[in-house]
Amino acid sequence: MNNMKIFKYIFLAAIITVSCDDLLEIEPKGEIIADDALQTPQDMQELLNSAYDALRGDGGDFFGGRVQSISEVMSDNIDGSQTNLNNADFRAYYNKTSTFFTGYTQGMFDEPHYVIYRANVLLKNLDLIEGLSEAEQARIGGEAKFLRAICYFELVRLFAQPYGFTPENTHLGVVLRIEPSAEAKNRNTVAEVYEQIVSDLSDAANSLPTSNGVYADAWAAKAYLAKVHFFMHDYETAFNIASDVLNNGPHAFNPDAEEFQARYSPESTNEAIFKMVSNPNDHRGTQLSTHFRSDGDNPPTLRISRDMYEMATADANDLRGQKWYRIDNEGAENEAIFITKYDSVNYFDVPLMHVTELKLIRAEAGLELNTSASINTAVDDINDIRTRAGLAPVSSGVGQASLLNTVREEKRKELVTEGQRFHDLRRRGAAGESDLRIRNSSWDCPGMAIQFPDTEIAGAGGTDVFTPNTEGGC
Amino acid sequence: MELMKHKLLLFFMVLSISTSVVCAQQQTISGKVTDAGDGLSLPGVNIIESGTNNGTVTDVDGNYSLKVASDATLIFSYVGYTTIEVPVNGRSVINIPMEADVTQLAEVVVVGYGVQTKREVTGSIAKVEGEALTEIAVPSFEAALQGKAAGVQVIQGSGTAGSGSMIRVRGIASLSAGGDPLYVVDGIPITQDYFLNDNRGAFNNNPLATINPNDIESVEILKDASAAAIYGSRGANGVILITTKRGKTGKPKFEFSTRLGISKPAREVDLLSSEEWLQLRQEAWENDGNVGLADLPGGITWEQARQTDTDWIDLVTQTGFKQEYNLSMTQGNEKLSSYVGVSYSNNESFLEGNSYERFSGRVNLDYNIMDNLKASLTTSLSQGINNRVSGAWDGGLGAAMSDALPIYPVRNADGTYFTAGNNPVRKQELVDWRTRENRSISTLALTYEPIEKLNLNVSGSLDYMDLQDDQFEPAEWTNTENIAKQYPTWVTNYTMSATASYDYSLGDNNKFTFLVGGEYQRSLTEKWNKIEAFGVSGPLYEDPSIPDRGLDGEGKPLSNPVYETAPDQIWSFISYFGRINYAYKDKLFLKGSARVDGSSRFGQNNRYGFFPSAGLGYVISEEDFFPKSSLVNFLKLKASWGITGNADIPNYQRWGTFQRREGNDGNPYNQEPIIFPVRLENPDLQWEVQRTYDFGFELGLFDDRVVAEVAYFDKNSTDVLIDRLVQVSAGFQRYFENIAEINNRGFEVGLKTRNLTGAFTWTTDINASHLENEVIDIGATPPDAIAGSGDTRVVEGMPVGVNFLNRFSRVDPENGLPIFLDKEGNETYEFNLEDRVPVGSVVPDWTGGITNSFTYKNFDLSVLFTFTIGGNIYDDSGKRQLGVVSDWNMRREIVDRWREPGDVAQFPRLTMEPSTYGGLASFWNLNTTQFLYDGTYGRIRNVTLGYNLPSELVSKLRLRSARVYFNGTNLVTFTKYPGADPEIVRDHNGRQGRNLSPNVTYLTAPQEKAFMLGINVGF
Repeated sequence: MNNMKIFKYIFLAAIITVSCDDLLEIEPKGEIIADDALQTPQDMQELLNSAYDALRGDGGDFFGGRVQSISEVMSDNIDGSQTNLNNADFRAYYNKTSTFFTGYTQGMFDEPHYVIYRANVLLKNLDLIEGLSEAEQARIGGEAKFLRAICYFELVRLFAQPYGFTPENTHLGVVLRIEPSAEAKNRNTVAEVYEQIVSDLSDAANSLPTSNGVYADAWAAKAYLAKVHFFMHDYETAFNIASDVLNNGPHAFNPDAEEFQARYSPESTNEAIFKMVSNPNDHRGTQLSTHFRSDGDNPPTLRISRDMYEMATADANDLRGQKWYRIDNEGAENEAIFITKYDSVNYFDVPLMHVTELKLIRAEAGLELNTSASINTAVDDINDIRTRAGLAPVSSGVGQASLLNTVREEKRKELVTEGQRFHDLRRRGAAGESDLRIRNSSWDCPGMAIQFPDTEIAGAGGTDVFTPNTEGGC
Repeated sequence: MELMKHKLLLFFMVLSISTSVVCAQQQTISGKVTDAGDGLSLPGVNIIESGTNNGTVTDVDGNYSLKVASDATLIFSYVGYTTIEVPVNGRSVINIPMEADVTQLAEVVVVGYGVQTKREVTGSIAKVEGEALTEIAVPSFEAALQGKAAGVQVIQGSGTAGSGSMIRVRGIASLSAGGDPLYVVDGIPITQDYFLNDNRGAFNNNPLATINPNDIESVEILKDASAAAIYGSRGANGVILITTKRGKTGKPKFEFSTRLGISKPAREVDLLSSEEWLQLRQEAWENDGNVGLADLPGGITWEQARQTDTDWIDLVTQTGFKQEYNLSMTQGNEKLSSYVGVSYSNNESFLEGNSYERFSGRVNLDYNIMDNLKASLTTSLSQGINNRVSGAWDGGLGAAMSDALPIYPVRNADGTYFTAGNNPVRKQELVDWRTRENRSISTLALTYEPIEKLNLNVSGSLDYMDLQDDQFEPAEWTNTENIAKQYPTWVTNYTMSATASYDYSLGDNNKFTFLVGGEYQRSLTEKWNKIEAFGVSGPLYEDPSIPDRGLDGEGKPLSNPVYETAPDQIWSFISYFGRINYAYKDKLFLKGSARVDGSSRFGQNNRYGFFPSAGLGYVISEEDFFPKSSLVNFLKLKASWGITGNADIPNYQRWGTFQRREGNDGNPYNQEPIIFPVRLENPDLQWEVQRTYDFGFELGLFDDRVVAEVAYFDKNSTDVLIDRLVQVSAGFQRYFENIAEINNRGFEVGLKTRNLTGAFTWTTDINASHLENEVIDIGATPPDAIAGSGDTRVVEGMPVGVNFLNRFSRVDPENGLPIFLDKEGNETYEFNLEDRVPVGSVVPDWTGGITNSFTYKNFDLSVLFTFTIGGNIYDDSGKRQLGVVSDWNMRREIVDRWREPGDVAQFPRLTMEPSTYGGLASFWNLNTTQFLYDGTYGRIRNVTLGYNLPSELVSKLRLRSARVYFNGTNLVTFTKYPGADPEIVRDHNGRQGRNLSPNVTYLTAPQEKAFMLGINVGF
């Protein structure tokens, strides 16, 4: 028995030697413990860069093409015939019947919220980091607010009825978070969301430098500010800020038709006021290529509607009609119309705001303002764009209504597949064209606001906490 | 460095023990103990002088010597043999032949950290002999456990080569944490991650596929807490102990076995031909109010479509050829006993291009360094090469059952591949894909007996896995350039343990066995998320110049190939455990055990868990008051209680972390480094806690002609982990929290009857288990927050993984529209996702198996019938194969559809417009009870007909034994399920899907029907 005791002791001693807590204290490899992660200005810069990184979304789920494709599908630019749109959930968007199960919404919804969360973490830590100069604080803070604003702007336009749908914009928008938090929340009103967007972009315009490499600068913030005001029907502010950017900023209108290829190219365009930069290993516009590229590995998911094609090619001289479309088996049962805007390149920079768009915004805002100066500017803008496309200029003499019609047509043709058309139509509906219809559906029918994913609704604790959109009904 | 430290520690522990010396015994009586059957010597037989503590054990040759009083009586006991008492009567040499104990209660059962006889076992342990695993044709040994053990549900994944199985021991008690049992091979908890290759190709890697079933001596399944609690925080889902063969005393004996066979799908789905499909398409087109000919997908004209009728299923399947060769040797002498086995097998499945090739070798040695010091080496080395094919949603047979339409040709008129629609043949022919696994599981153990009955054991084990998934996509496939991809993973898992056991007798009637021990296990997983090389001429495994690390000479990331990093995964467990077994007069058995587990996965506030258990076994038939009759010759009552845990959660979940990426690593924005938040901190994270009661009895009737085992169990799991959904607008993802409570209760029956004895023998072995599974509590979590593949959910008061579907009522005979039921059960034309309710259950009511075995002269026949009663199958592909007419082929059942007013039909009017069906948003949403089927099925799982060559012929051939046999697997299936196969484990992308969605199929390949011819020779 004594022997046994001795050995027991030896064993216990041996085991206890092994049993220190250290052996269980295994920190994740390749990850950084939260407390240690944000220590230096460089850490902050890298966190900021990760917010830019998430803009594209995983595999292009957000600005990498998904968000543009969804809004195009909901507009009148896409062919919705039976053989098309069989892929994934585009059919549901096309029919304005997205549900909380519509899978394409999920990734598209997650990614901007990563951007927003990262921006919020940045803003919270801004004055806690040793060695971060005031100038750097201003720049990083400005970029964070810029990124937060453009994400909320995209989200609120897709997941809610447009600005102006209710007189005070008290209808529900999206959940607004300006601090990092996991708290379950219901949606803020559209007014609140727009107020935050305007505040963020104004702060960014004030605190960002006028030049900031490939990242957002003060001009980018201003250009977006013009666009946001335009969507708030505040044409004067939109017109003035757009003019500031176009007249004083470094990005000039390119009058050469080469722009039609340059906009989506590896070399990019100087017209890009804010863009996502790509390189051979890292294509930022992956889903633009997947869904639209007509000469890629696989046929594109989306084709162009006959209606759009006819408008683009109505004038045989229109270079955009010539350069951007291909029609297979015309007139036959298997006719297919493709956009070639994204063809023949494996990667390209993705401009999210460019001079052409801003000019179109200024022109339409100028026409809505309807002063002689603003109309003249508008006509100049329209004619810059028409001339480049090989079309005859228009004169101010045709009157405001005709000019508005022209600028809207030009915008549709210029920005086809860039995800603008759907929002423009709803904006006009909310601005007074109450009879406006989008492919036979009223601009404000319930399905026009796409449904939140189940992870937003269930994650909040269900419909007791979170008010989803009304489904269907278009 | 860490590893080095532990190795040194191990070394010193061994050294400190082995330097002690112990005195030898004196001698007056000596002799040899042999097996009365074959005359071979028996080592390790216990010899005790009756009424004393004086005793010894026979050596490797069966010799013993013991000093005893001249009037003493010696008791010889040995597991598996009948104990005998021999008076000395003044003799100095006593040779004893011992009779093997044929009653199964003498059967030796492996329990954690030791062995027991079945009689002594107080818990619920099912044992399956190794032979039962080798004759059936299955992709991996664990599938052969199906129908063999009560309470153990085995669902084989599919007939795909190398496919794994899902094993559920007494139900499912986990949601987001792993629900699979713990696999322990020769004492080592092995690497058993099914998601090392994610679900690439719609296939989960099977970490058990490299294990050679021919090396397995036995498999024990620890079912209740009393048995499994010795594995503490990892025992809650049961423990599967795999014991490999060791050397047997005697001259070298060789076994050679080989078998050859073929493989076919067990069942196939019936899809439409080109003409039939076109007709449907046209009908839908016209129903939708269109005129003229319907649009066709893939840019195909009607003329082309009519000229084509491609049978894609035929093109992607084949008759697979299977072959297997095994050679093993066993020997044992005074110093050394050894088992050596080598094996080669190549199993082609019925899928074109799909096979699993395995090379394996095993050397198990036991060496007696001194009389009381033994070294044991257990080592295996194996390689599995899986020639892969895409399945389900990724192509292959899945494409053939879905969007590879019969109107699509394989090749265009000009000879090029057709690419305007899914063409699985093109993918199969162009893309090269294989997964190679190298695996070694090895243990070195030292057993030292410093004094009698005290056994000290130290062991160090290494389970090393090198898994490499390789794809090569030629330019013709990618349309750009050749691209080779590799997904390599290396798992190094080592375990060190030390145990001490001591047998103590108090008088004749009281026997104690004490066990204490400690164990440390640490596992490291290293991997590249992906290595991608552009413009190469072949797969990366053929190109040794591919550098191991993605850096050039200057330490800069390479641009080609591109290396995508993945962080190392490390986890560790430190455990202490103890067990006391007490036996009173060989009829009352008590057991108590406890284990303390600490794990790197647990949060700061819950570092160590305590897992106690207690068990009682009472052979009441031994009591004097028990009526002696041949009706009931044996009755043992059992009861047990215990706490076990489940710690199978991803690593690092307790930490709040950020991650950094730079360079080519994931291509961060503008090629500048990024850092981003990953997860919230959770210092309270802990294991799941399971409390189990188990009551049962074992019964022998008519002198064991009928042997029955019945057990009732109640397992209550609390702190069940949920991978909690955060409202996604918060900007970060899920996190693990101990929230839920789940109860599993049920009973198991095992019945073995010897119906006929004599020249013609017939035995029947029946096992069946009934399970009730209920989710008691999931906190304030709405159903859609915990989802499994194919619309399974977790709902309070329902079983885990209820099908959460819209209810389909009927087709309106007037207009052909589908009528659904709303939440309240009223009929409605509207399809509304809010009307989804918990309907079916993927947990069956009963599972089991019946084996009938017959022998006559040299022939033997064994037939295994397995069954599943109750529960549901959800066919997640049904909504496309039988729903809205789209670019999918459809199943023949669609024939029964509404065509004109008055038709009473199973399926509604055809349409190509989802909104026709009550405003359906997308054909993906048509998840209704129409595709929920009764999961009941029965199957003739295995038939083996064998013939043992007559001994005269055998000895003429200078052999020991020779046997030929025919085997058929999955021969006949009885089911009402109209889909591919009622036995399904689809591919999953994580543990939660695997837990919630067995019996949910999404284009999953059917099981395999195999016919094998085999020869076994001993010499």
